[in-house]
Amino acid sequence: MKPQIKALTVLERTSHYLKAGVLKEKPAWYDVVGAHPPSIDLSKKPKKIELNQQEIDPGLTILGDKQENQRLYKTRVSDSERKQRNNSIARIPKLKFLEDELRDVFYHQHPWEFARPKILVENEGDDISKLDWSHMLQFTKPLDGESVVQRTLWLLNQEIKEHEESETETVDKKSLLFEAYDKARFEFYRLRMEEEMSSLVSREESSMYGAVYPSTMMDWGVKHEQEYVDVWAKVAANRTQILEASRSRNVATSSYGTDATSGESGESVWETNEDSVPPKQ
Amino acid sequence: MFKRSGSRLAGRIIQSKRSFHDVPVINNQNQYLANGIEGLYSPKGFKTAWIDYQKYLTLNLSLHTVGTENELKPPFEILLHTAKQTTEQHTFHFASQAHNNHFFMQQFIDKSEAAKTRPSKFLLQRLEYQDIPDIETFRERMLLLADSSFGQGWVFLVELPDKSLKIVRHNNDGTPYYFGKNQSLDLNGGVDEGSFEYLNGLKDRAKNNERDWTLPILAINCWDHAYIEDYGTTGKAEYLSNLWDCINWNVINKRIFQL
Amino acid sequence: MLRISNSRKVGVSLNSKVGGLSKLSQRYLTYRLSRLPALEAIQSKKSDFKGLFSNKAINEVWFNRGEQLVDGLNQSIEQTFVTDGEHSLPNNLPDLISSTIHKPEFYGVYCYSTLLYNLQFFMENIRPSENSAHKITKADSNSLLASPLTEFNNEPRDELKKWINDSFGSLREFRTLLLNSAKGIKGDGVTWLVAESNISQTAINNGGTKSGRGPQFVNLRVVNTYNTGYVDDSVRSGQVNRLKQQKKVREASLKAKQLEIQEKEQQQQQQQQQQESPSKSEQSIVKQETVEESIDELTLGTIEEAELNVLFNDKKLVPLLAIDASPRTYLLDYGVFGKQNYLDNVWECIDWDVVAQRAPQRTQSIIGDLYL
Repeated sequence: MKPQIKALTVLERTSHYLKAGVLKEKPAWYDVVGAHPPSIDLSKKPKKIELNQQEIDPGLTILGDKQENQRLYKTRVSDSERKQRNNSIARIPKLKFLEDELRDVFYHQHPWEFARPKILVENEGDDISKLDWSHMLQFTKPLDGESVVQRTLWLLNQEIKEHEESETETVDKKSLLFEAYDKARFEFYRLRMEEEMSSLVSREESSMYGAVYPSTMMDWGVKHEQEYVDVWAKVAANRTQILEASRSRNVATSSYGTDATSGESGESVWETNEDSVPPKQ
Repeated sequence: MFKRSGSRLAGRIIQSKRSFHDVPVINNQNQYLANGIEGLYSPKGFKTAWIDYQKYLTLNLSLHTVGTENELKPPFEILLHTAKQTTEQHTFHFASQAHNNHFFMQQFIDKSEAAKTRPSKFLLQRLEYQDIPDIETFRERMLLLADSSFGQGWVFLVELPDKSLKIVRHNNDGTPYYFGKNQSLDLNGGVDEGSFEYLNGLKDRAKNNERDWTLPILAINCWDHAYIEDYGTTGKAEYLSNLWDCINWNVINKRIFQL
Repeated sequence: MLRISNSRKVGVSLNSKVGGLSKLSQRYLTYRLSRLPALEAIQSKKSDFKGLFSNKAINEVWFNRGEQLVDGLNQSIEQTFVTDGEHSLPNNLPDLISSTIHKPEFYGVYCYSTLLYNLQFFMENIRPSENSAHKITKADSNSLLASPLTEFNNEPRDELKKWINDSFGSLREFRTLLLNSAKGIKGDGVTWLVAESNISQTAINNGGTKSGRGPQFVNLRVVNTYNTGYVDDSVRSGQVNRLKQQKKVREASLKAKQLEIQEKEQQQQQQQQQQESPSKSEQSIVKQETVEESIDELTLGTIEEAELNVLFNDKKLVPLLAIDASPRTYLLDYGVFGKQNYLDNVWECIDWDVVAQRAPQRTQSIIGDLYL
């Protein structure tokens, strides 16, 4: 078969071949393409600069035709001509999915959900497609934002199906989507609350039976906070000293004129006094 | 029960597949499901105590570990890993219970078969070191401790690092493998001085990050799940004495450390 | 004064099952299982406790277990109060509990009486439900995946409803909190709705509030107790603190003794040598004390200290509602997987009239949630 240039005529040619017996069986795409024939010619065509097909500069006709061999002809395409005009064909189309929009909404509303680590390894790459979303909890998938998204879609489809069956007047699909999303979201909250409570109660229960823990999350937090408190205490003491010094110098300069040294010495005595007083309860 | 849950392919390749926790199969499981354990469980009682309860535990374990580092670990490793984590105590519960229950269920056999097994001389000798002269005294001590305590829990015969044996009670989901989660006290009611001192001792040990090398030899399940179906809420005493007659000592003898 | 019996004897003896008869001498008060009319009717008619328990389960959970607890209680009373005929025994469970909780020798009495009290309290605040939507069926493993129910029909009325709304935000939030708390309990335990007083029991004992009106109840709370735990914090709490203080006192007295001995020794030395000035030893003692007293204000306290100060305060708690979440209550009817179903059904069977009757006079807080 020679190279096919005219992609648009593929249907035509195939039916020709079928009739002629070149092709024995209908290709799988045949009926579909027949029902929805391509409307745009997707093939890129080179800019033609053939001699005979070039348009004559209109200016020349006004000024009177010259000899044919004296005319100017283009031999190269310019930059602007070489540019692909049909941009919408060349551009990779933006894939739009409802799921993505839902994910976007959910994770904007719950940014801390990103803080939960996630395993990306899958057994077969489409593990999620095998799950049944008539319930939100799954044995093989942790409860997270994706659960909300999938559950929303399931609820939405369920709603739409019900409406179609009951054949009531057409409903606003947007409002159905909001409803389904909210339903899934609150389900998610309830499950999270349940798990959190289970964790808290378990801990309390076990400590009532004499369980001990080397350190708790809070201990860890307090310990690390203390490190910063210690550093800050030093810095703060220093800064207070400087602040007091500059303040008393100001006082000193205003009351004693330019005698700064006496002010400083007076201030330092005062401060050491305060430092030496132990904190009283 | 201590093995990893990765399936081994031919050669040296170990394929790790993501999956969820399920009920392990114990010896004679199908026979017990059909006829029960003679002298201990009816088929229904066995199903509640083992199949259903274990399924409840492992499925819950799956729910709480899926997508985390614990996903592929067996219950034994999960319980060790979560024992010190204050926010993972619910996971610990299911892991510890799943492990204990599996450990417990492996010990039994039909009463007629059990009568043919005997505790080994070695075990009896070791018990003697702990002032337990004969198997009758041993039975009495174990069962009395199991029966006299309130609430859910486990009674274990454990082997300490110095190879001495000890009978201990672990309340609720307590585990013998780590002293901090033994849960041998009951602070719900009045706290006496002894428990207070014991608790302080535990706290010090935990602070020093002490390790624990205790291993269980024999377990008695005092959870309602183990007996309520066949014996009712008040039948604990009867259940315990039946249970003793169905212990397969061959299993127990193998668990004790032997040179 | 009281002979301490071997606490291990407290349990039911192994080989001989305890029958209905208890061999109690006349001197002791014997406790009986209280007769709850609704439950008596169920037993005589052999019907189900509609909406919650089958006939078999109610027999097990209330009648059989109740009898066992009563027997155990009477037995342990007999064993522990053995020589003291004069000793008067409180004739109600709460008093018995508060009089035995801090005495290790009455461990058995305490445990049996609390278990009995908790069980009775729970049974009194539920009633059969006529709503046929809530069935008593065994759940299978798929029920673990089900999301919690949101619809409910059984609601408290009037004052109580308003109080719950004010304390928890809404009835729905309260229900979630209550049932989640109960579901979280893994072993034996009870979830309570309590009214919390604004001042501690010690403050009440020390002469009441400034206004002299006694405790005021502003907020409702949800509390869990486990195993043989007793709900009232004014009775239960502060034990570890108490023991700590005891230990401190004992250690202090030991130290004082040591110091005395040291001083004596030093005095002896002084007497022997008579050259040293006596003030030196005093100085050293004073120094030691100041070292102990100085507290570093920049160091945060431990979590334990904070918990002792905030969580386990000895506030008077008045229980209004109990939900028994122990496995035995749901295993028989709902199976291993059925705890959620059981709890949903319990909610529908709560007798809010009883709960409302138990509530103390509410004090409207002018400043709202300041007490939080």
